[in-house]
Amino acid sequence: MIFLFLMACEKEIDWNLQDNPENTIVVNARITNEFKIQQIQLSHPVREMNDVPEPFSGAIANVSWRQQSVSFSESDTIPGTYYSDQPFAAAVDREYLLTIEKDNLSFQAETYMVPVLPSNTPVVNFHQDTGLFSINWSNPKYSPFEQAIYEADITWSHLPSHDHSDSLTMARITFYTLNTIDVSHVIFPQDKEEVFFPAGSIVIFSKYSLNEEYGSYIRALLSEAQWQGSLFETARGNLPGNISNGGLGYFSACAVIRDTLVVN
Amino acid sequence: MSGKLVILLFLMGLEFLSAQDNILQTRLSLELDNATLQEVLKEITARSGIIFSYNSRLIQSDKKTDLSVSREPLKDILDKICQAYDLEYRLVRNQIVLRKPRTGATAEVRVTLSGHIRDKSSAETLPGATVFVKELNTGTTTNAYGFFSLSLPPGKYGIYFSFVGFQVHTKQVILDKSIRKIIELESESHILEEVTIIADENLENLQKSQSSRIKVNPRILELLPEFAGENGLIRSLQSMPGIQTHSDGSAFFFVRGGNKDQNLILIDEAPVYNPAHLFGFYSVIIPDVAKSINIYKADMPMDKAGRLSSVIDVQTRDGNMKRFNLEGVLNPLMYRFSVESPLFSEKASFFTSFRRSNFKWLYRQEAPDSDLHIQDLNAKLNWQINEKNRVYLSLFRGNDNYTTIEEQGKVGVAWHNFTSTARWNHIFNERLFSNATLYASEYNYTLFTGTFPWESGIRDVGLKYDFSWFLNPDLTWRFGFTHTNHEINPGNFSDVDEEISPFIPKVYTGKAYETAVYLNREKRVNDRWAWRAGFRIPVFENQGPAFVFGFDETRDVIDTLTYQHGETIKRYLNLDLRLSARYRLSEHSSLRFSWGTYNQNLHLLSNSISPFSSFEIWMPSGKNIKPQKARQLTAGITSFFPAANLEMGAEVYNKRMYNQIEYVNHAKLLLNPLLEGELYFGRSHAWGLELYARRTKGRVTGWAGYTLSRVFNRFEGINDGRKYPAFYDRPHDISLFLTYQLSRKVILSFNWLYYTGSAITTPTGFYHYDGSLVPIYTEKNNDRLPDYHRLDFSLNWIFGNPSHRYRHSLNLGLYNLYNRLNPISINFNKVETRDGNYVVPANYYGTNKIMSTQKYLGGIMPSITYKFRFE
Repeated sequence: MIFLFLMACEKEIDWNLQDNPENTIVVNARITNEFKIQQIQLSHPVREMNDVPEPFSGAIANVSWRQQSVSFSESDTIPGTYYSDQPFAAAVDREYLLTIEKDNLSFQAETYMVPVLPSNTPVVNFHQDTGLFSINWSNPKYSPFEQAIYEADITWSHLPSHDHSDSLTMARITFYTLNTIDVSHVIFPQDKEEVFFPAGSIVIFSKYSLNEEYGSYIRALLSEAQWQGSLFETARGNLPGNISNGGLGYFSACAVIRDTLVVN
Repeated sequence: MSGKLVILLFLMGLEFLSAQDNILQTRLSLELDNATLQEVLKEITARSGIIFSYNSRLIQSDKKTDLSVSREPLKDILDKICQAYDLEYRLVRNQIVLRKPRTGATAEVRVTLSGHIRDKSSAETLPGATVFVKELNTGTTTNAYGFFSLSLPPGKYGIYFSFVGFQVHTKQVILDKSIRKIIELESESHILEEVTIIADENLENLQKSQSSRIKVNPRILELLPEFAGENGLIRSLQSMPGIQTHSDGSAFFFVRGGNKDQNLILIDEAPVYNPAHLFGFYSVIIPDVAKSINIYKADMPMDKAGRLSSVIDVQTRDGNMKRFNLEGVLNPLMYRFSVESPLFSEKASFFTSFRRSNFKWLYRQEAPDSDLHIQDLNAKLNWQINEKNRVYLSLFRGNDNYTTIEEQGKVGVAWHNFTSTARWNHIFNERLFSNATLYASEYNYTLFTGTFPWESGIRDVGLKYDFSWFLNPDLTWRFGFTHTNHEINPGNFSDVDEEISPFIPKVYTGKAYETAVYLNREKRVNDRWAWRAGFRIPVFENQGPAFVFGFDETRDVIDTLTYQHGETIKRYLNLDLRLSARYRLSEHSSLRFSWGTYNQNLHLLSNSISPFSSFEIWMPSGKNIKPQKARQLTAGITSFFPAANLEMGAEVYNKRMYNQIEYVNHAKLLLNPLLEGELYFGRSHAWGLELYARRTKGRVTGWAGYTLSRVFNRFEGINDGRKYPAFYDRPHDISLFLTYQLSRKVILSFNWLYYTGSAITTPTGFYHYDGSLVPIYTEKNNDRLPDYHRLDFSLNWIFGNPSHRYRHSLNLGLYNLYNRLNPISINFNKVETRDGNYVVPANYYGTNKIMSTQKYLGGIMPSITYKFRFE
C-alpha cells in the first residue's frame, strides 16, 4: 500500500457548498446503565464546517420507560445541555422513549440497551523520542459477537510541570468494534490525528455497548466523518438516525464499563 | 435532441436514395437498328453520360436487335435490353452493372473461394482482414480465426486482400471450381521501424453493417503515452468516444451511460471479471499480448452477449509459426518477457508472456514484512492439425498481492483472475465454419483481516459452439449455442474456527446456469443496402441449496425460503434482439442504424465511489434481483477522405436501461446475508452524440473525438423519485491522440483529454454529534467535481538498424505534462497537522479547524521503458 499512499496526495481547497434551508434539531443523547444524573445535548445544524452550533434551548425533554418518566432541564450555564431532574440508570430489556417539545415542534426517539461484554484495558505506549505516551488500541475492529465504542478520556491539566504549549490539557479519543466488514475501517484506515500525553496523565477507559441500530448509525457516522476520502470510500448519504420529524442525531442507551489508570 | 439527430441522419439517407432513383428515371430517346449490345450501351452512354459496367467474358453476345424509344425512362429501356439479351442489371454507385440473371439452372452455379489470411512473417491468422472482389464490387472479412468464404459465379476475378498495418495483396483468381487458399500479407513496416499503420480498414468499416464498433490496433496502443511505465488497454479506452473511465488510476469504465458492471471483457472467449492490477493503476490486458481488440458499444455480436453496455473482445497472439522471437520490456516498476516459436514448421506454435512488478525497492526499508506485487502469465498453443481442423489452447493468470504481516497476522488484500480456453476450429466445407470453445474463468478476491480471511469470487465453466455459414457473398448465417455454469461466492469468511463459526453470518453461495441459442442473418441487399438481424434466447436459472429472503417495502424480512440441492430458485427466459442496417452513400461514405435489446444476469454489487477496484461482489439474478435490461438505438455516418487519409464519423444513441441497481445509504454489502435488502431498483436513460476523426497513415496519425452525452437515473427512494445525474454523467468529453514521426527512428506521441467533472454528492450543511462533524445531504449527486483534463507526452526512440535480428528502443514518457491536479474525491473531514499533513481529527476536544480537501493521484509522472526484440 505504500506505493498507493505515495501517489495519493491531498490539498486544501475552497468549496462552495449549496444552500440548505433546513434548520432542525440535533439530538446527542446517550443514557447509560450507571445510576447518575443523565444528560442530553440539543443543538441546531450549522451552515459551514467550523461554525459553532446554536443550542436548541427552551425545550421540554423527558425520557420514559414502562410507567416511569424522568424530565430533563436545560443547564443555566451550558445552553442546549439538558440534565435529568433525578438520577436513574438505564437497563437491558427496556424500551426508552425520548420526547422533546418546543413551541409547536415535537420530536421523539426510541431505543433499547444491550449488555456490554468485558474486554482488556488498552495498552499505553511510551515514545522515547518525545517522552510522551499514546494509546495502543488492541480491541478488534470486527467482531461477530458485539459492537462497542471505546473511549479514552485523558487529562493532564493537574500536572503543573507539563508544558501546555498547545493549550490542550485533555483529550477524548475513541475506537470502535463493529460487526460489519468495512474496508476503510478494518484494513485501510485513513491517517488520524495522533494524541500524545505526558506521564502522570489520568486515563478513564469506557466501553459502551451498541445495539444493532445504534451500531448502524455509528458505522454510518464513521463512514462520513472518518472514512470519507479514504482510498475505498463508499457513497455518501445521511445517517440513519432515530429522531422523528426530521430531527438529526441519535438517542441511545448503552451499557458501560469503565477503568481508570494513571500513566507512569 | 438525440431523436432529432436520428431523424436528420435518416432524412439524409432518404435524400441519397432518392438521387439514385432519379438516374433510372432519366428519359431518353433512341433509334437503333440491327445493333449489337455494345453498340446499344455505347449510344446510351453518349446520350446520358451513364456508365455501364460488365464482365465482357460473361456477357458475350453477337445478337443484334432493334431499339426504338421516345422519351422513355431509362428503367424501361434497361428492362427491354435485358429481356432481349437475357441479362439483369443493378445500379451501383451511378453505374449500371450488367450480368447474367441469377435465376435459372445455370445461374445458380457458384463456386467458393475460401481460406485463411495470415501474417507472412509469423503465419498468424488475421481476424477482420478484408477480401474484396473488384469486378463484383463485393467482399467479406475474415472471422476471428482468419477464415473467409466467398461464393461467386465462375469467372476470373481480381481480388484484394488487406488488413490494418499490412500491404494490400492483389491476386488474379480464375474461379472455375471451389478452391481454398492461404493468403499471406506482408507487414507494411515493423513497429520499431516506422509508423505507417493502415490498410483499408476504412473499406471494411464502410462495408459492414456493424455499428458502434471500435477496432483497436494493439500496435497503436503501444504508442500511447505510458502511465508508470505501462500502457494497458483499459487506460487507453478513455481516449475513445463514448467510453469514460472512472478517474486517474482506475480500471473502471462506463460505456454510453452504462454502469461499470455492464462491460464484458473476453480474453480468447473467456470472461475476465476484474481487469485491474494494483487497484486499477494497471490493466491485465497488455497490448503486446493481443492480436486483435474489438470494442462493441452497441449491436454486440450474438455469441458475445450477457452485458448491457459493451464487449471488449481480445484475441491473444497465436505464436509465430515460422521463427523464434523473444521480446522484453523493462522499466523501474515492471518487467515482462514474451517468447514465441514454431513447434512444427507452420503446423504448431506457442506464445507465452510473463510480467511481474518490481516495486520492492520502493518499500523495502519502510515495510520489510510487506509483499506487494502483481504478476501475469499468458500462454497459448495452437496446432493446425490439417486443412480443416485447428486447435487453440489458451491460458491467462493474473495475480495481485498487497499484504503485510502484523501482530495479529496477515493483513491486506489479494486477488487473481484465471482463464483457460480450448478451441477447436473445424471447416465442414468451404462455406461452413465452426468453432467449439470450452472455457473456464475464475476471479477470486481475498481480504486478510489478521485472523481469518474473507473471500469472494466467481467461477465459470462454459461451452460454446458457433457456426458461420457463408451461403454467398450477400448472405451469411451465424448461429450457435452456449452454456455456462456460474459458481458465485458473494463474500464469506473462510478457515473459521469451529467455535466461532456459528456466530459468523453466512451469505448464500450461489450456483447458476445460463443457456442460450442464437441465430443471426447478414444480408447484403445490393451495393448500397445491407442489413443484419438476429435473436438470442438466454435462459438463466439459479439453484439451491440456498436460503432466500423476501422483503417488504420497508426492507424488512417477511419471508425465508429454503431450497434444496438442485432445486430451482428462479428461472428467467429472455429474448435479445438485434437489427442493424447499412446504407452506402458513396464509395467512401455510409450510414448505419442499429437497434437492440440486451439482458444481463450477473450483477456487480458495490457501493464504492472509489476509483480503485476493491471488494466488489458478483450476484446472479434471482428472486430479489431481476435481470438488467436495456434497449439501445443508434444511427451514424462514416466517411473516408482518401486524399487526406482521414476517416470521420458521427453516431447518436439513445439507451434506456431497466432494473438498474442502487444502494441504500451506507449499505452493508459485505458479509450480509440480507444484502439484497440493501438495494434499490430503478431505471436509467442515456443519450449522446459521438464525433470522431481518425488518420491512420502518414507522418501525423491519431484520432480526435468529442462526445456530448447525458445519463440520468431514476430510483424510488433516492431524491424522492426524481431523476438525477449518474456519477458518470459527463456532458462533454474531448480526446485527442496524435503521433508524429519525426524521423525513421523517433516518434513523438501526445494525448490530451478533457471531460466535465463527475456528478458527486456534497453536503449542504453539518451537525455535531459526539465530537464528530456530520455532513447533511439534501440530494444525491447534487454537485460536480472540477473538470478533468490532462496532457501526456512520450518519445519513442529506436536504436540500431530495424532490419537487424536484435532491435531495441527506449520510451520516455511524461504523464500529466502540465501537472494538473485532477481530484478523485472532495472531502470535508480533515484537519491539518503541524507538519502540513491532512488527517482525520481524533480528539473530541481538538481545536484544529476542519477543512475541505481534495485527493488526487500525483501530478506529473515521468516514465522510462526499454524494449527489445530478438528474432
